[in-house]
Amino acid sequence: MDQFDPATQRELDAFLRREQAAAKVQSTIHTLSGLCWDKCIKSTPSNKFSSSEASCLTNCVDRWMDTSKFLIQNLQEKQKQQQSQSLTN
Amino acid sequence: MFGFGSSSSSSSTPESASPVDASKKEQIMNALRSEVMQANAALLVENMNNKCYTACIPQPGAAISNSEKTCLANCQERFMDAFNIVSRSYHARLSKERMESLSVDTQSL
Repeated sequence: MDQFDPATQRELDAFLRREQAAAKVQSTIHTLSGLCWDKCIKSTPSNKFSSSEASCLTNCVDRWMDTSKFLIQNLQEKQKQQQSQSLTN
Repeated sequence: MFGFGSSSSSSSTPESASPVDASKKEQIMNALRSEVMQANAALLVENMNNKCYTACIPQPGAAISNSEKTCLANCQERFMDAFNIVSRSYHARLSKERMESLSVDTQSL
């Protein structure tokens, strides 16, 4: 394909970055739907969710985010501890 | 700076872009958007298929029964509900996290 002029090229780059970020979010939503469906929907699907199923789905997403944040922070803490230990040794 | 940043396909074209480039750009953007939409829809259907099969057909018989079909129809709607609830919650959480990291940034200034 031919080169675009610089302004168009920049605009396309920005567009691609936005689309990539959006695709990452969408991919997480697909994963979470499956995960939270398995965790929260225990009865045979009927014509509507029970209120506990609906609130479980919402909680499921928030606790997954908490899990992710906690694990990352925990790893960072461990790394810091190891670094300070190797410094004192 | 020009008015980049808008994700709409409107013609916020910078002066320096030639009309040919602008229309090619629109073509590329629209092609990618429709690819993404199709891929998302395909994944949604695949996931729905697997979850509803598990939920509604515990023991596959010689033919699909009417009660199984009723279950599948309900499951299809509930799966869409679940997807929408999850999507809303996740987006809400993301923007909350973004707000918090913004306020931390300004506090540290």
